[in-house]
Amino acid sequence: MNQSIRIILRFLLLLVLQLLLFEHMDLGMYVYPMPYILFLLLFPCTYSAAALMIWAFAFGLLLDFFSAGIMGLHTSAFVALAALRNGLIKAMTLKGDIDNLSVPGFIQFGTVRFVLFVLLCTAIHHIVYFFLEAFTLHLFWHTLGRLAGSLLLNTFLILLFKKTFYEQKR
Amino acid sequence: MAGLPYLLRKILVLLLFLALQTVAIVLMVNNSYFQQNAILQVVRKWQTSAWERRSSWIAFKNLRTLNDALSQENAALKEELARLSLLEHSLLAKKEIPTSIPDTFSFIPARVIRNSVNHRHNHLVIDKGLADGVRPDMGVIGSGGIAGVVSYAAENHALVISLLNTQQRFTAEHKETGTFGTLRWNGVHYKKIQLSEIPQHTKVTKGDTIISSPFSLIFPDGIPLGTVLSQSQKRGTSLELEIELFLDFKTLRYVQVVSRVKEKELQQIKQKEEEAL
Repeated sequence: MNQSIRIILRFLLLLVLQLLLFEHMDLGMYVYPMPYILFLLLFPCTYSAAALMIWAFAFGLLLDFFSAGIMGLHTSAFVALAALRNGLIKAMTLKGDIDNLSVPGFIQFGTVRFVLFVLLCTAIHHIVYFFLEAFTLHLFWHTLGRLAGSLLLNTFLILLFKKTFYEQKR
Repeated sequence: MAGLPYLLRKILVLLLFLALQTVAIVLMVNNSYFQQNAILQVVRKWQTSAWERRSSWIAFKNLRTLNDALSQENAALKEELARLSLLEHSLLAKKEIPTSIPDTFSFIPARVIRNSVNHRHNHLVIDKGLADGVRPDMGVIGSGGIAGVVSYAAENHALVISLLNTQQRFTAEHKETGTFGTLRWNGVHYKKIQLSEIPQHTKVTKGDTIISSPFSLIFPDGIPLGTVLSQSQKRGTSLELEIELFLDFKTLRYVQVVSRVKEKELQQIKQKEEEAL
């Protein structure tokens, strides 16, 4: 299948899943499922940062529009992650490796390094999301608690999705 | 873009990042509930039908608790009816029938088809809209207190800013002393809300009732909202009370939109006041 068609299908799938399923899950104040972050982690390592940001912007904007929340919140967090993703990959891999790696994954990165990578990506997204949502440092620990709870769940969900549906065979 | 020198490429990417972030932040700060919904009229139509189906299923699961709440409310209403009819009889006996009853509100019953409690900015969507007389800035009450205020009304549904929204302020007063303050949620727990700007000399004890204030023009006054849990001083000048709400937003299914009959006159007075300032 053509790469861009695959990206668009993935885009729609994750968007619909987030809007119809995860937005309606009521898991309490401290856990907010947002596995859509996976979308950005499935692009090839050498994909340009500018293109990543535009994808993230489009995704975030649509999500903000259709969920009855605050406009621009998901967008801002997702664009921030898109901007930092490639730098993170560069920092976590050896220089020679990067050309051989197609998409970040368990096999390509090694299990431990990939889990750490997903954790850091989710953390970047969540720090922007939860602190922008709060917009103050008042109740800092409460915001941090929400961040930590969601971080654990979403890292787990993303790893699960990746392992189940997007693992490339060698 | 591959032909450009490295530095220039980096700068372009940075500029793109800043541009996209600016758009996102501007959208967030403008907080355009109205535009957002106006654009989405068409989508909201099928979205609401999906929300409705889901909420009716959940409502079915909660029928028992709902029944209990309704019977309690019924009892309270009957009590009030009895009290009022007694009053009416005594007035009739004196033949001093008032020519008009001053402030009257009418209530539009509605069903909540979408609700959230675990964000900082929560919203409700209800199944009544312009066609049923719902207008923006009308109050919404549930059985057990204020639920929110209508921010946008479409033909057959309306978006309500929940009481559980850190950006929305309401007015409420301490029943025992009549002191009023600002009611605003701090975003932590869906059963606890904060009433601030209460003067320091006010004598507040735990368990006191907080009611809606007559100074808020969109709600009838005297609706019990909750009880005082604790109090603390803020900036040495005023008290902040923590209130436990009577209304449980997690099981909120039926609400009433409050429409003020003489709303137009009030608006005119308010406008004149603003012009005078």
